[in-house]
Amino acid sequence: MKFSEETSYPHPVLAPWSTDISGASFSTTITFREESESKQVSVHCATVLDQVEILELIRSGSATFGCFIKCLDTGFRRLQTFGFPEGTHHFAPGALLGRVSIRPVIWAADCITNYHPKGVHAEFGSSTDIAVGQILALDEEQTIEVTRPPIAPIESIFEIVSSDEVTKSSFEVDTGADRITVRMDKDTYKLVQALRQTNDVSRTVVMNSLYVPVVMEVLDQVIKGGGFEQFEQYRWLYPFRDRCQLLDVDIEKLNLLSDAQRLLEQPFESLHQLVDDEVA
Amino acid sequence: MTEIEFLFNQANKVEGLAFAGFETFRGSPYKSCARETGQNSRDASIGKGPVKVSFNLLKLERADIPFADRLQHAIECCLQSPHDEKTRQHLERAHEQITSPVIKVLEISDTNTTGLTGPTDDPGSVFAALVKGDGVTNKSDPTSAGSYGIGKNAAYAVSDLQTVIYSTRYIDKASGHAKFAAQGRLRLISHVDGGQKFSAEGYWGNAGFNAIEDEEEVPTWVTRADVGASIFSVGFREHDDWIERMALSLATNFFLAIDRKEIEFSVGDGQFKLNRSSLDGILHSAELEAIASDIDQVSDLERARRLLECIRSEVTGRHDICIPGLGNFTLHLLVGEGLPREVHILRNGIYITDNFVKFGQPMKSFPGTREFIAVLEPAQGPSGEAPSRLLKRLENPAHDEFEPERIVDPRELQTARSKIKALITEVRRIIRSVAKIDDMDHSQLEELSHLFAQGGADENYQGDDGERDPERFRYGDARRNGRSEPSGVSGEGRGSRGRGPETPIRPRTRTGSAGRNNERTAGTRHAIPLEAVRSIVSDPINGRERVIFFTPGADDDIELSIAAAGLSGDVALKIVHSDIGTVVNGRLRTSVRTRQRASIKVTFDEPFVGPIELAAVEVKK
Repeated sequence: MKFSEETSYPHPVLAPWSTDISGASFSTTITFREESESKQVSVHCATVLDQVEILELIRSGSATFGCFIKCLDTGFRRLQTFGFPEGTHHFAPGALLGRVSIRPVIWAADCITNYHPKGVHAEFGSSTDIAVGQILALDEEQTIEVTRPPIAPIESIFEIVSSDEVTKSSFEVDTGADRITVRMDKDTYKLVQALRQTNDVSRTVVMNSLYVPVVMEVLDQVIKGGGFEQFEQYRWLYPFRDRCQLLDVDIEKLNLLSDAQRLLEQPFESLHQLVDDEVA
Repeated sequence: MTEIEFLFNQANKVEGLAFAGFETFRGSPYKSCARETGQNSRDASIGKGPVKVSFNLLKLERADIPFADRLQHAIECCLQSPHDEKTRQHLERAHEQITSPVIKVLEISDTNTTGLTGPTDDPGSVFAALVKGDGVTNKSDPTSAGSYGIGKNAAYAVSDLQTVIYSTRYIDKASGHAKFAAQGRLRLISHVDGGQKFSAEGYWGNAGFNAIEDEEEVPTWVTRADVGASIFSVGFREHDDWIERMALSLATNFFLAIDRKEIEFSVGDGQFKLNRSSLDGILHSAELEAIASDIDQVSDLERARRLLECIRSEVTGRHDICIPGLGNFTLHLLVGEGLPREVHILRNGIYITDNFVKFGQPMKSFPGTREFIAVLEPAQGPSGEAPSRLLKRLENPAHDEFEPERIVDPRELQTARSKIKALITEVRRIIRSVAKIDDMDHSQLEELSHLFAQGGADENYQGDDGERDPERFRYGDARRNGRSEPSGVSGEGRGSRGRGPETPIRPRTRTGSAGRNNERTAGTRHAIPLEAVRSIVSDPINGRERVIFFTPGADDDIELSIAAAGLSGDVALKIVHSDIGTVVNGRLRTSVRTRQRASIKVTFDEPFVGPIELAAVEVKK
C-alpha cells in the first residue's frame, strides 16, 4: 500500500500538507516501548482530530483509525487498526526491528454517501460518495528505531545460589568471590525466586527481608576485616565501595541497619507505599 | 380492533407484583436490560455484517398509546384490590405514568437479525416463545447465549407500567415474504373489574390474545421498515444516567463481540455508538469512568480494558484445548508484569465469569506462576459448538456463574463435571507451563544492579516515564519524517499539495523520464512544480473523465502526465482527450502561467476512479 503526500485523491483528504479541507487538523503522537529481551514492541498512538464529520464517522463505525506500518528489516507491512483517540498495539516479539515507519491513516469502513465535510475546498463540488477503504485523513509518516542504543551492561554484583549445605530456612553470605553470593537451601531458594517474580509487593518484601540483612552482613564483614582493601581481588568491591562513597556511608562510623537501608534506597518506604496503594 | 385483554382468574389466585422473572433483574435494571436484550439480538444474527441494536427513548403523547385508557382503568382496578404498601407505591407510580400527557417508551430495535420469526400462533415459533412463553427459550440456535428465556423479562424491569410491546418484521418461511407482527404483554396484579376476576397477566393485540399482523392496526411508532425486532418498554423509568449505565453494561459485556464486528450498539439517540472504531474511546471515556465509579462498576470497566488488550495483543499465546468427547476451547494467555492472574470465561463474545466455583474451582490461586491474564472461550467454528452448548446449559439465568446442578440427569451431570474438570486441569497445565517461574539453582539479583553499578548509583537507570527498569524496557517517541519536497525542488516533476500561497515555487532541472511509463526522454528538461493538486471524477459511472486542478510554478509550455497511484508503484494513465491543449502520446501539452490556477478536463482511455499523481515538465521549444 502506498501513501504519498503527492497523491491526489478524487475526494477531499484531511492532511497537514493538504488544503482539501480547511479549518481542521489531524495529528498523531506516536510513542513506543521496547522490551529488550524478547524484542517485543508496543506502539501507542494518541490522536488529535477536530474535523467534525470525520469524528462522527469514526464514532458511528463508518471510518476507522489506524497506521500503515512498514519494517524493512523484517518485511512487516500492515495496516493496523488502533484505538481512537488513543490506543496501544502490542506486536509479536521480533515483528519490528530497526527502522519502522508508521503512517497514521483514517479510512472509510463503510460506503459513505454525499461526503461533504465542513471546510471542503470548493473545487470538490457539492458532495461525493466514498467507497470502503478510501482514505479520509492522513498524517505525516513517522519513524521509530527499534534497535536499542547500546546500554552499558549493568551486571549484578549479587547472586543467590541454592545449596544443600545451608540449614533449612536460613541463608549465608559469601563475599569471597567476584559476586556477593547468598546461599540458601533449596526450599528457601524457591521461595525467594517465587517472591522475586510474583508482584511488586512480594519483590519489595524480598528487598526488606533478604537484601537488607545481606548488605548489613557485607558491611559487617568490611568492618571486621579492617576495611575494603581485604576484598580488592573481587569485582563486587568496586561498585559497592562507589555506592558507599556516593551516599557518604562512612565505613569508620557505620550504623549497619540504617546504612544498609540507605544503600538500598529505603526499601521499607516502597513497602509502605504498596500497602497504602492496596488499601486505597 | 386492538385491545388489552387480561386472563381470567377462575382460581382466585393472588398474584402480586413480585413476579420472579422480573425480580431477577430488578436490582440492576438498566444493566440487565442492556445485556439481556443485546444478547437476544446477538443470537438472532443473520450472519451478514454486524447486528445493530439501538436503545432510544421515545416521548409519546398519551393519545399515541392506543391502550392507554384501558391500561389506566386496569391500574385503577388493581389499586382497589388488596395490596401491601410496596405494591401501592408501585401502582401509584404506574398510574402517574399512564395519566401523564407524555408517556416515555424505551425502544430497543435491532437490524441484521432474523426478527421474531412466526407464525405467531405456532407455540414453537420464536415470536410465540418471546411474547407468550414463560421459562422457554426463544433461541433457535442451541449455542446461543440465552439459556432459559428469562432474559426477556429484563425489558419489564425498566417499565413502571410493567408493559412491553414486541414488534417484528420477519421473512415467512412458507411464502418467502416479509411479514409484520406485534403484540404487547403486561403484568400488574390480580384484580377484579366489573365483578369479573382477572389475572395479573394481560396482552395487547387482536381479540382472543392474538398478535396484530396488519401494520395499519398499530401506531406508526410500533411499525418496522426492515427485518428485525423491536421491543418497547412502555412507561420507561427514566433515570438521569440511564444512557451511561446501559452503555457501560454493553461495553463491559460485549467488548469482544464488538471488537469482532459481530454487534454494534447505539444508545440514547446515538449519544453512545459502540462499534469497533469507537470502542477504545468509549472504554476510556471520562463519562463512562464517572458512571462506573458512581455505581461501583469500575472493576468491570477495567476488566473489559484488560481482556480486550489480552485478546488483541500479538504477545498473547493462543492455546487450543481439546476435550475428548466434547470439543475445542481456546485459551488466550498473556503473561506480563502487573497482570492479575485471572482466567475469564466468555461465550459468543459476551463476558460470563472468572471462575468455576460451583465445580470447586474458584480459579483464584495460581501458585508458582508469573503474573498473567487469560481469556477462555469455546473455539470459534464448529469444534466449539458442543463446548458452547455445555457452557450454556451450565449458566445461571444471570449469566455470571456456571452451576453443574442445572443439569438434572445424573449421568449427564457426571459427564459435564468430568469435562469441565478436564478443561480446568488443562487450563492450569498450560498456565503453569507458559507462565512458570524460572527454576534454576542460581540467579543474579538484577534488581540490585542499578544500585551497585560501576560509576555510581543513579546513572542510566531511570526510564523516560520514571519507571526503574531500564534493562527491561526502553521507551521512545516516534520521529516525524521530513515532509516531501514539492516537485520543483525534488526534481521529480510531481505535483505537490498545499504549500502556502506565499511559498516560492522553485523550478529545477531534471534529466530523464518525464512520466511514469518508463519512457526515457533524451536531454535535460525542467520539471514544473505543481501546487495544490486536486482532482474529481466528473462521471463516476463512466470513470474515464476527470477534472484536474493545479497551480503551476512557472510560465511555460508543459507536458503533463498522469499516473494511477497503485498499491506499491504508479502506472501511467493514457489521456485520450482534453478540453484544452493537445494530447500527444497519452500526455497533455498545454501552456500554463505561474500562480494561475489551472482546471483541465481530461478523458482517459480506460476507466480509473482511484487516486492519481501528476507530473509536469517543460516542453522544449
